[in-house]
Amino acid sequence: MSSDAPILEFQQVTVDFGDSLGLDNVSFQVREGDARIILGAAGSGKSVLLKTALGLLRPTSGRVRVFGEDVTDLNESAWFPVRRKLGVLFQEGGLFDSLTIAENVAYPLENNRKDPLPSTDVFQRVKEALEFVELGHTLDKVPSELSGGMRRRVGIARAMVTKPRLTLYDSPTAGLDPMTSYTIVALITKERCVHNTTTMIATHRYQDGHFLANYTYNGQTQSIEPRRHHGEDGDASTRFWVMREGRLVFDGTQSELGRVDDPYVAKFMKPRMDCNGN
Amino acid sequence: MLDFLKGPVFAIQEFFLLGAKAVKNIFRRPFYWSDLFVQMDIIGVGSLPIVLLTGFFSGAVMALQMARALSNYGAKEQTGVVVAITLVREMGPALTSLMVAGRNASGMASELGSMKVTEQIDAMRALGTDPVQKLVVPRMLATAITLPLLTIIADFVGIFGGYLVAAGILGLTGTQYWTSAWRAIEYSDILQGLLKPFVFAFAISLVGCYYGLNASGGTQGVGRATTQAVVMASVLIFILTFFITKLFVGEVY
Repeated sequence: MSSDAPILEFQQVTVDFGDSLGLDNVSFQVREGDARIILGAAGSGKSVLLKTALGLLRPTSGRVRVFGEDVTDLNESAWFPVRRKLGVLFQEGGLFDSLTIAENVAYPLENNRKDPLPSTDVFQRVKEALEFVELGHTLDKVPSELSGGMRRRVGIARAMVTKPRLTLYDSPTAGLDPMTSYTIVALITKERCVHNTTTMIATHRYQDGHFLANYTYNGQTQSIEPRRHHGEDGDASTRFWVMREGRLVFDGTQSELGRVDDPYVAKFMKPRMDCNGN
Repeated sequence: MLDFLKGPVFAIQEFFLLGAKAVKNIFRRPFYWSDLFVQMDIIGVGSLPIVLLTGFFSGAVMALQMARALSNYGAKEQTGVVVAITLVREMGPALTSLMVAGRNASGMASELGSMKVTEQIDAMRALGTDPVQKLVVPRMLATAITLPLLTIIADFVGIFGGYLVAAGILGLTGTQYWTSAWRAIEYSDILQGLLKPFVFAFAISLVGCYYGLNASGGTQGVGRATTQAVVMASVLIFILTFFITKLFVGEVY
């Protein structure tokens, strides 16, 4: 699944907020088709990592490469064409209150003035994206008319409408009930499988990563089903990271995560163990 | 001491950087025309009732107060002169701007602050839109266009309010009032009276946008940003009006 050239690369990246370090000497590579589950407590640097990858935060030191291009020193306007190739879902959805759902999802397409799409094509793409997240009936509603889970689903539709190669999800299930969280993670899994999108999810829920690593979307039956693993580590393209105080303290597969003794890293496995009654 | 000063100095630097970027972006593409017209409607048309009321009653009150003082010198018929000059030079621009600051600097701070804390500003940047271009430039230009127009309306309504008091209570004739008022106003008064709201417009809009874009800490932070924006915009109006007045009065003395 993975090709050789990394599509996202951090080299010793530090983000210094003055009174604390958002990221502390973080280095990694993400390749096409990979999935990364970024676990960590609140304030551990998960969102800072994603925002640095998007250029919303500037590294104090280190280098960032996106799609092979060194973007570390780009100014705001030079970032825009790079960001258009990325999909992003913010924690609260990040939908624009003043726009309808259709206008929100159309925004990334209509905002691309260098390569504009005809309005009929925009409408078609918006409809497809909203039907993908099973919200095709909400075109003319405004975000305040939708529930929290529905707003996240619209956020996913907006993130995928440009068919990005890399999509970043910032706490997609935070504050949602278990059933809605399942729906959101199932949609992310479906999006990853259907479009072969490289996926990075920042979350504090181990279950989100477990689902992404072990389930797949079957296009023929149009349903989510368990992934057929080859070998002990299962899906090798899905790796788990654990962040603590801005540092990447664990990088490994799901089974490696299960074998770690460090209490901080291991505590992210606890919910699963509790579910098993152990 | 140095740490204590660091915060305000950094804030002033950020404010001027935002202002410089907003002015520079006026000449850059894309220009969001529809946002400009929407903001002109919100700021200009939306502020009209409150500007009409304050303009009218400030003119009426001024006529009452001035007539009392002027009658001591047997110059009650000069009421129109005092009302017109005071309104056109000072009270019209200052009161209109204070009303617009109270209404719109708070509106901008709360709207942009809410967008900031709900990550809509980040989303905008992530989707390839410059928030300064999309949000700040239309608000700044809309205020700069509508505030001088609102001031003209407030000036006229204020002088009319003064006339109603002069004619109805003080017993002056319409000709006495309007002729003296008309003759009293010079071109430099009109220039001063229009320059002030134009300058205040930048202060009001940029202060509102600055506090909104820097809001943090959830809904409480939005409330704090809103209050700070109104207070800072009002204070800036008084400081700026002193310097602009000094500029014009300095020619005389």
